[in-house]
Amino acid sequence: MRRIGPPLITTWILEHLVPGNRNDALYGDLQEEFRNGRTSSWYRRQVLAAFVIGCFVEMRSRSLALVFAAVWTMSTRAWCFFALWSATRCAELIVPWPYSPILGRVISVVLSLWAALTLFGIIEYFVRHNLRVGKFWRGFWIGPVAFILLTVVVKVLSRPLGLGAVSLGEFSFFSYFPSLLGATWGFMSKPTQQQIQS
Amino acid sequence: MVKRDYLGEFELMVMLAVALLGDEAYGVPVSRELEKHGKRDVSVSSVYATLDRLESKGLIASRLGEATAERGGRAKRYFQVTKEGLRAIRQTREVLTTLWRRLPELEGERA
Repeated sequence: MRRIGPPLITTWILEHLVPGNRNDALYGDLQEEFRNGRTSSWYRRQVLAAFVIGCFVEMRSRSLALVFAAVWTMSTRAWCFFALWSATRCAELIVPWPYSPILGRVISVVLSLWAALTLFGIIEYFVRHNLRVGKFWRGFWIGPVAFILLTVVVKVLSRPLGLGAVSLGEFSFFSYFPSLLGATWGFMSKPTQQQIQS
Repeated sequence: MVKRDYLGEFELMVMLAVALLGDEAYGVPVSRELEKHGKRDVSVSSVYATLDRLESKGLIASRLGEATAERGGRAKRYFQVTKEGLRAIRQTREVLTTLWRRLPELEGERA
């Protein structure tokens, strides 16, 4: 027996998870085609393609944030040792051992995330004239919160997966980079039509 | 130097399909047209991504049509090639034609 409507979960993914501002026409087209006799597997393939293409287009439109986060993360690995050492020494004055190293790490990461966001905000404002101030400030707490959550997830998952101690490279890749990307992603607006044409 | 907008293969195919379909050019008919003549599977979302890019370059214009129950209450988005778009198609055709005309010579040299 043929189903009356398209697959529910796939439709939900199309409505809520496919990136892009103008997916209404695509949604309508897929519904129309399904009702005109296309199969569920065709519908699923179309939604999967829409998801992949949507992600690609979104990344392309925010390639500056992607490149900036990657370059900053790589440079962070270089100065992280010094920042970590100095932040831990400062933390020792505030909180007694054994908590001061943890506090030192958090302080050094938060400061480096904020420095990155400030620099990225300046680039956005002066180079592209495209800064959203409200979202810019939001990035200042999204970055640190995302970093703490991701670090906990990486730590928890590293044991059952048998990864052992998380190296600095893995820490950069799994926690720092996505946190910085998430923080810069939100406040970076897409290029306007005028900017694309120029 | 005069700025020219050369189109990629898929962009050109999409533009030609839109021009061929006239007033009925929206996502599904465009992708069907491409499947029919291009002899390959085309996802509707890739057509929309290309159309969005062409629209941002000013080569295509769009307008919203009617919303029907069959479409889950969503409106159709109709597309139309702009004057700049037609110029870009002609420029691309000229370049391709010129290159194709030289191809027999090249093949003759190889042989």
